[in-house]
Amino acid sequence: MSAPASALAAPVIRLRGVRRSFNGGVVAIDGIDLEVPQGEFVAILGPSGCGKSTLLRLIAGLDAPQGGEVVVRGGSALADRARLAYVFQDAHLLPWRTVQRNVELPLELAGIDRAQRSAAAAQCIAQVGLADAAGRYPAQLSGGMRMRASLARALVTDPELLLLDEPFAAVDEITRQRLDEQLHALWAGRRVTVLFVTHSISEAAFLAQRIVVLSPRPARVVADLPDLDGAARTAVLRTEPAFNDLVRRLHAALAADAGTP
Amino acid sequence: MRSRVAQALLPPLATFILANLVWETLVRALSVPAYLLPPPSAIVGALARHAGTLARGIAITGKAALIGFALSAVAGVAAAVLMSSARWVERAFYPFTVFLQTVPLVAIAPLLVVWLGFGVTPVAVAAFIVSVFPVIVNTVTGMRSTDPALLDLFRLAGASRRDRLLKLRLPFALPSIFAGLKVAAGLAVIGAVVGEFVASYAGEDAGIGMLVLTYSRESHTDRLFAAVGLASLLGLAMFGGVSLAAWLALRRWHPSENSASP
Amino acid sequence: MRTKATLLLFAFLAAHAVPPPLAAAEQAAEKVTAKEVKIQLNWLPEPEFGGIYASELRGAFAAHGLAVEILKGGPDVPAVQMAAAGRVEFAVAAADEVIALREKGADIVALYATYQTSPQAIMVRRSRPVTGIKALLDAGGTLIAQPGLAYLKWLGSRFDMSKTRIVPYGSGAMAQFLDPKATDVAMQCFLPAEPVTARRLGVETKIFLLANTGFNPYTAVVITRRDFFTAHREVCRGLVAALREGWKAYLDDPKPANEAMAKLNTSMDLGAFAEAAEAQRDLLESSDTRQLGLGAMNEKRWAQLSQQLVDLGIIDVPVPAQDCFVTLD
Repeated sequence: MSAPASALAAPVIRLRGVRRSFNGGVVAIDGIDLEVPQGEFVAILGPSGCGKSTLLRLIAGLDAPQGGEVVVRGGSALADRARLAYVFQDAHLLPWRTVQRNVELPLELAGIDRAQRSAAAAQCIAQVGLADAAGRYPAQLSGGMRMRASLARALVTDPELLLLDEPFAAVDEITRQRLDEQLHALWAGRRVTVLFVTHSISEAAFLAQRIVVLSPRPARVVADLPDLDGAARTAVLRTEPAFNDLVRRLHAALAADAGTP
Repeated sequence: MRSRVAQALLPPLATFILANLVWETLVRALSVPAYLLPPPSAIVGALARHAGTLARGIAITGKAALIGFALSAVAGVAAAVLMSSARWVERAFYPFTVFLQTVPLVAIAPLLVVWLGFGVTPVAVAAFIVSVFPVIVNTVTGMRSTDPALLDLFRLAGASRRDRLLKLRLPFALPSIFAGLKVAAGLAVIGAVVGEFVASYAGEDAGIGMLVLTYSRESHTDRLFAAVGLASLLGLAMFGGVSLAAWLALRRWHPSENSASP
Repeated sequence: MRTKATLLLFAFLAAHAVPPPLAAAEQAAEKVTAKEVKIQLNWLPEPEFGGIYASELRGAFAAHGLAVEILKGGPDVPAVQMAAAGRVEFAVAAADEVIALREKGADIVALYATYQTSPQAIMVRRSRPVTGIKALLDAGGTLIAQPGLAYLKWLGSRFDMSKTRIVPYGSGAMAQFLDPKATDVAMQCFLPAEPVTARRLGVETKIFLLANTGFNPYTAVVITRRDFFTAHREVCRGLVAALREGWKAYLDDPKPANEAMAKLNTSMDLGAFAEAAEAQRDLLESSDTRQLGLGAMNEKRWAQLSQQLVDLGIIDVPVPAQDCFVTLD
């Protein structure tokens, strides 16, 4: 591979032959190769239980592969990694803290002083549209608002790599679409590398620049499709023929592998 | 808020009054001898006539129970946190806490007298021994049940062990801790009263437990019931205190203390 | 094969388990006549109850048609309340307990007063320089006593007890008293009991009898409910007669009863039992007993005690003395 030496060109994530199995001989991931360049928005699409979350955890460093290598810019070790933020399927906010203090949390744990982190948190809260609710507790928020708070928390450290594990799956369809739009806008404004795991074809098509389709367990890359690059991400997009064409192709890619043992 | 308090107090209060009326009527109608079962009127009379002695007694018992409870809270939570730090620590020490629970207090109370003499100290220790177990068990459970995703989050953020304990695991365990403390409050009173059977001074410095014993021997059953009633009130007060603390600490975020969730 | 053998075994055992017809009839006859009663002691078996055990051993109870079950007591056994409630037919109590419970509505009566002089006392180490109860209480210190006993109130009314700390008499009481570091400890005792134990453990004592201060209730009194007495007069008469025989035998030779009691109360050895039995001799007899027999009581003493209890605030109204006891000949 003759990649240019400049940092911009080197991939943020590189996976080679990654393998991961669990107790009981369950092979979750069977030989995955993947390269993600800086600033790309990649959707990882696959049926439920195919190992998408496992893959994301391997990339985050929460888990280690049994075969192959996972290199995230900076190194393989968690400590060397590029600034990384992870968004879970549920908001997982600390229930005893206000939104403001929840969003401040990553900075607080990193030892940033109060004034700085307060300002940074306020900015992210405003970006996700929760400025009015900053003083409320998670129990007083709706599901969608909690998810936005979780997003704000992920963005507060100004990460280079943003990993999202089906973050909007537990939210209703309308809110979900709105959140998709917001997320895309946030990405466009920052040029952060995003890995977005989902089992929703339309969501993957809407959000990503590139869609990696995984087979059912054991997961392998089945297709790697470029997306509708450049198209404006608005509600109208979902009605465009190009969009629906992409959706159909994704359907086919998923279905083709559905019966594979 | 006011109506909520009234709603909570009215049913048990009404039941209490009704029960006492039935009791009074039955005792009079069946001419039950006073030394066997006194009517509520006699008990109230005894309470009034011996208010000084009984008040002194409940103050002494209350002091011992509070000290014992405080010890249980601090030592119990500390022990549980320690045991939750590593699996082998838990396996090494947990069986001994179970042992503490099963040893009957009446058997070790005389030993406490030998080691600590009479007075508030051995009684407080008795209260501690009886009440520490639920604190430990509930705290360990609470420490074990931390949201794994949040643990991941802290790990990704590079949080120190101290931060993980103070900012995540302990607050997460707080509802369980309070559940344990609520149980421990009542048990501390029981432990104090039983401890006093053996370890309290008699005479002027008698705690409620010793007064119970004395009145029993003197066949002053009305005073006996008055003393027992006061001991129950002490237990209720301590339980109420812990419940109030739990409400204050948890009301904004835990469903157990919320009257309505969004 | 197996079941057949088992059946044969059962049959064999059954044949030898059934007693011959004549013995069965005799047993049945005995069971019909002997009245089964329980007597609840208010302490562990000690020379205080020597006559009761002697009666049992000599068959005096059986000879008077009684099958008596002797229930041993302890520091916290509410013997007199158990009799008042009808749980047991007879119990052992102190006269002041009898009066106090009568005043509260329990109709119990005394049948036999073992101790004519109360053995209730306070003991200290012989080395302590106090000469009497007043001096002891003035000096202060710790008194190991059972809270709730009448004599404590008596002491409180006669003497200044403000300097004395009272600790409960529990299982560790003797150890506390014997502790060499405990230089200011006094202990409630029965004259024939604790001082003997102490002496045998190497500590000589000074004993201050409560009776000498003017408080002298009949002690180790056998009591029953009046309705039981009225319905079973002969049983009570038989019991008193048996007790008299037993106590006389015990005074003559305490050894057999001591041996029996020593098995039930391992806190004292036989030597201690012997010493104690000797020490209590004088307390068991009085002019009344010499005239009317062991265990006899008189009205004057009951009346005096009743008034004392009123003065101490233990009861509100005096209890008629003649209601407190019965005399059986």
